[in-house]
Amino acid sequence: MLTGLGVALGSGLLVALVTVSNTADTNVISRLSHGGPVTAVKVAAASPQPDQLDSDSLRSRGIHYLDDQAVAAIRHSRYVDSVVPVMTSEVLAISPDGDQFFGHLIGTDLTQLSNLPIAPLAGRVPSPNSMTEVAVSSSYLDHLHVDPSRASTVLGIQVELGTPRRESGVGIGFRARWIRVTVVGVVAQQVANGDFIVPMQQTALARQWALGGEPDPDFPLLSSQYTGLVVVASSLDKVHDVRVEIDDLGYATSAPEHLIATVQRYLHVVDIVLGGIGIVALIIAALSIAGTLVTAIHERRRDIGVLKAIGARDRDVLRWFLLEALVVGVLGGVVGSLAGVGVAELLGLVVNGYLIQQGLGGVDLTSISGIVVIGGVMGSALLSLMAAAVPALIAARLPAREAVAGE
Amino acid sequence: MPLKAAAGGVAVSVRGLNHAYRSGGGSLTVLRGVNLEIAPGAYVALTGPSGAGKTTLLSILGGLEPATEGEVKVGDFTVNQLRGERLAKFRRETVGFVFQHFGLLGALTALENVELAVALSGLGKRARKQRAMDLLAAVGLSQRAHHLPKALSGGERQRVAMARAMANEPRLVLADEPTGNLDPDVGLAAMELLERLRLASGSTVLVVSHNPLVAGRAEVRYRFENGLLVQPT
Repeated sequence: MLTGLGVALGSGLLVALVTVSNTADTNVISRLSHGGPVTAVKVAAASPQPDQLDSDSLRSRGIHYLDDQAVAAIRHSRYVDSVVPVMTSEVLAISPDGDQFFGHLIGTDLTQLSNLPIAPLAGRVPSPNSMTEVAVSSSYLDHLHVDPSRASTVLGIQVELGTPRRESGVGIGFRARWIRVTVVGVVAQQVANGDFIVPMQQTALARQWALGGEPDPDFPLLSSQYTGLVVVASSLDKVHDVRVEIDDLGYATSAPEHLIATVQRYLHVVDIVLGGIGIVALIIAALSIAGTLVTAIHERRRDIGVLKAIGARDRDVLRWFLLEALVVGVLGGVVGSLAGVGVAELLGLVVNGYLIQQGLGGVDLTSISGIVVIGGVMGSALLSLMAAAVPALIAARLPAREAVAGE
Repeated sequence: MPLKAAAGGVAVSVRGLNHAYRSGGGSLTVLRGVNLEIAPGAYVALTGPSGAGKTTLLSILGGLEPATEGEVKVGDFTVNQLRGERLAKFRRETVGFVFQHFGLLGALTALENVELAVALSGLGKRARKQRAMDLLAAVGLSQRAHHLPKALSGGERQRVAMARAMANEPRLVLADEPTGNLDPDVGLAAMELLERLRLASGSTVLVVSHNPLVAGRAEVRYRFENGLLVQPT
């Protein structure tokens, strides 16, 4: 009973630690990417500075147009999984209560949402071809003085968006192309600086309108086909290679590769600490098993002697004790692993509650892995067998005269 | 009696047997120049005070204890030359033990205790279960087959132990104070059972006992005093 509890304690602790450690690693890194793919690289329609690759931030100098030819070249680069073009356009926004401000439309291919750093906070993103729907970013909530926790209150409101262009022949020298759109979602996004997420064709029409006007120093227009790209590398360790290739093509980039590497180093230290605790737990469990079995052997010396007296061989006794340890290990492992999952869930809830209470976004610390649970049971069984090896050998070598000892 | 007859009893020959235990820095001699001849199928009792060496002689004959010096033969086996696998086979196939403390495994039922001894001889599961049930029937415990030892009386436990001792048709049965933990009436019944089993199997039986009534039932009686064997009485 005590041996089983020892095994359960060790395996439970280890399963809880591995569950929290593994999931925390994944989800913390994912959070650094703002809900999008952790391997996303943002490309600007600008040339890179010589030290661009030393920095996670955009370091640009001068315009370098991004067109379909550039997109195709990047798409064919090694280690690139996807390329999603982005186009922005300046607009004058008028909210239902009459507030006005200049903001930006962000147009992109909304069928490729999984390849974009966009995370819905409330509602949804616009339908990929809709010309009447828009998702607003949290910067829009700031303009309206709406707390992010009440993001859903802006869903359904209608916004007037006007794209201005210079026309010297009209009254104030400007005309605008007006559209009325409905807010269908609120998102956190890192696609580009802007307030309104729309399908690409909405932005294309706005830019086409703006470019039809006269040049104006107050509203300088970039005539590049795209204002940026979101490129997804095939894996985290290929992000730098992708940036190098894009840099070679003459475009400035940004990606949190150095930040992620630093965080990964810290997480590795955390893993080592948690692993150390787990190993100590395992050693304690192993010592508990070995100690309990040695005690059991001492108490059962006469039984072992009787077994030998009726013809059991050393290897029979060895097998019986190992089998007993295996049963204890498996049962303890099952109980411990299930308890460990429960502890990890509880820990995740407590940590998440604390983060949210502190005004930070929650991080899901527990994602239950079948492999971890099965590994916990198998590991416990193996640990029990290893811990029982020496006591079982001692039992197997006890002399048969123990059967009549004390008589 | 459903017991199959053993291949008959086996002759026992002990010559010049000395045995000592290491004790502290020195040694404690318990058997001194013991010579003993037992005919096949004989029923022999060993008596004597505690510490005289009776149980030690039994242990040496059954291969539980290696003799310090001398020759011990049980049938064709020179017991003090057996080691490892051959010694285990000798204990399993030639000898049946009955202990004062019964020696039943507490976690196993009466049936499983008997079945365990049969299983060690390599019999298949169904056959060994049938054999164990037959043995329990022979000692009148069919109805108690699925009870744990703690649910059995002392007499019933000793009967299970006797059934187990006969499991592999031993040619030599060694009983160490088989009535030591039993009431006189129950002890007497146990000895009657042992005798019936002996007659059915033809085994040689060697009983160690303080009890003159038990010893008195044997065909030949030896007495031990200070490690010396006194001639048959």
